[in-house]
Amino acid sequence: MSRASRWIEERVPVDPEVLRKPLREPLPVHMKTWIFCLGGTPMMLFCVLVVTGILLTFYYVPYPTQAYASVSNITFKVRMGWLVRGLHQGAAQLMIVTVLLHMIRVFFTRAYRKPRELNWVLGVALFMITLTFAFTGYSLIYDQLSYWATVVGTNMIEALPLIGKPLLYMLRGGPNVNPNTLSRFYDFHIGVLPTMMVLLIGAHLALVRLHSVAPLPGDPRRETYPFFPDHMLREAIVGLLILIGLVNYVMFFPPTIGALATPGNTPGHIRPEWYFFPTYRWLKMTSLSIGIGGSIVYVTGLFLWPFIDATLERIAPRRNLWLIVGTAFFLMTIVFMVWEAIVG
Amino acid sequence: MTIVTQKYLVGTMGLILVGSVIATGYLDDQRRKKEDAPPAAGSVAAAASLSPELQAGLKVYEEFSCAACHGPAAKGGVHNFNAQTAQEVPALIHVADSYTKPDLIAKIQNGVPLEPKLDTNGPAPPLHMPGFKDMLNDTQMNDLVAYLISLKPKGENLGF
Amino acid sequence: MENLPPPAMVARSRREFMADVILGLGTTLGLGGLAFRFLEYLYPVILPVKLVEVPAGNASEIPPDGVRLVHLPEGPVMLEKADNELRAVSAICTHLGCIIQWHPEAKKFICPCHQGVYDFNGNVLSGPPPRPLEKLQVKVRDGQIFVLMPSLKEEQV
Repeated sequence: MSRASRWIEERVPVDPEVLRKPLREPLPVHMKTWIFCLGGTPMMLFCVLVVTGILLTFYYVPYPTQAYASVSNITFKVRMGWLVRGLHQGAAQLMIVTVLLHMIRVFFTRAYRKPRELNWVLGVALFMITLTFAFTGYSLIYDQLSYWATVVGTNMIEALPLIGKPLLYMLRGGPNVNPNTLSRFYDFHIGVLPTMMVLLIGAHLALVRLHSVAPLPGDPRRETYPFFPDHMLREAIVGLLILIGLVNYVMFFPPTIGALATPGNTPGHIRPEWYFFPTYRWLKMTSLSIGIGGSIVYVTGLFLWPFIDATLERIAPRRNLWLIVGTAFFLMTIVFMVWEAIVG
Repeated sequence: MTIVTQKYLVGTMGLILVGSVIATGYLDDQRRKKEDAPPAAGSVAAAASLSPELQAGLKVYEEFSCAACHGPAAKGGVHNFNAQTAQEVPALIHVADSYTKPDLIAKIQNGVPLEPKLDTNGPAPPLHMPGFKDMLNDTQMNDLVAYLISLKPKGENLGF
Repeated sequence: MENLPPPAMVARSRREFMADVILGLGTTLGLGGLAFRFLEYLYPVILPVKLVEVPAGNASEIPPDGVRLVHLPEGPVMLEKADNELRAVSAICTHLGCIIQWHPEAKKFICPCHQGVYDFNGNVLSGPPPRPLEKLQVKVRDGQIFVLMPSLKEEQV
């Protein structure tokens, strides 16, 4: 073995220590619980999505009626097509859930505080990219729900002051939803967004390693354990659990497809996907400008949370305002989501 | 949990995964054969397995020549030079997912407006869905709509 | 260099070794199985070939002991009449797909691309073609010729 490694070392002059050191990274023992594996989980799901996504591009055609026919093809005619598509959809939903859970964990363990504020900002950006992935991906099916969700979703952008209309036209590739729209969404979904996602994941991981894992407030333990193999095995268990779960879920609940999109006819009960329920409910409650304005405030608050938290800490030290404010917004979001799910 | 136990766990889970993956193969054959079934055989078999109420709807579907355009048992597959839907008249087995009952009734009553020929070299007759407002009475309409809504394949959840 | 035992083999219990074996085996089989299914997915569905009867003109249009090239939508075909028997071979050269030409003075088919030479029956006489010309079935009804060829309408899944 050492002759082989010497052969490589002569030709790739990298000090093997450089590669081995990150594997030995000491992690604080508070990370030994499963809830701290929630960071790696979205990344593993992203890998599943990239692989199944690439497979789907072998048969998918991004032109209006042919898109529907190709998705139908994949679901019903291509060998294992139902499995690939089902895994893709399942992993997408699960990724949104795990990103949310990870965010919640980071929030309640206050791991976003100085000097880690920028990593939180990166994380929220990653979350927004994930949602955009879901939105653009859903629009590619071109059945009734998919088409009209795209129309409604993009129409909201027009309400933005000043930039609304030009942004909308750019997104749609024209004033109305047309074949350009589909190919633009497709390009976002398979080109622009994956690139942004990979770059931001890299930056996100780099910051975590550079700062080392945030200490858990109130935990006095100082012992550590190595990333490899201990934590990696833990993540592998979670990853395999997810794969087993997904494969079996798809076997029992295979993907299906609705009726072909008919631009002249809006179905009676149009609704976005569950992860947009909070926004949807909020928009239904108020006028368009307040609705959009409120959503912008919410998202901005989400991005700047570590700085808001620092300000709250300065105003009322040790009064745990962060907990009150954070929990209030979290509960409000959940209430809106459940409300829309039940009533909608 | 010790490292050794974790390694055993990961390995075992890998084996469970491969077991699930092997099972997918059997399901694949089943699932694809279902869709390969020739549509012609469909309507007789479909009629036999329907409840009496839905049989009335199927009768309306066939009597008023819906099958001529939308295929036997609404499975589609009929070529149509004018159809915006990739020049094939759409199947109706998923209308339950995209139309409420009143919407569906309205659609059948009004039909689809005549559009310019999709393929300018295609034949001239007006190939568009006519409105059946004056041709179906309320009972027939309700039976037909009930039948169409029942066509959604069982065991499939509403996709994404 | 002293003769030390390879470090990896020192003081590992059988249980620890088995753990590594199961780990390696499990992950390889698990992920490998999934990868195999994905490869299956990529392999195109080969549909059975459906033959259709393609009209190819009148039987009287072909001179006895003669050959006529017809360009049917399903492909180019050489129609031959030998001893009053009507036959058809594909006019596509089996080398690299060019369309062959009939040379009546030599009574041979010659492919202009790489000079493959076939006889009247489609067998290779010289040149690069690896196989004889594909024979096609012919039906004659009321003097009209029909050649059985793979249907164009079959959509590749």
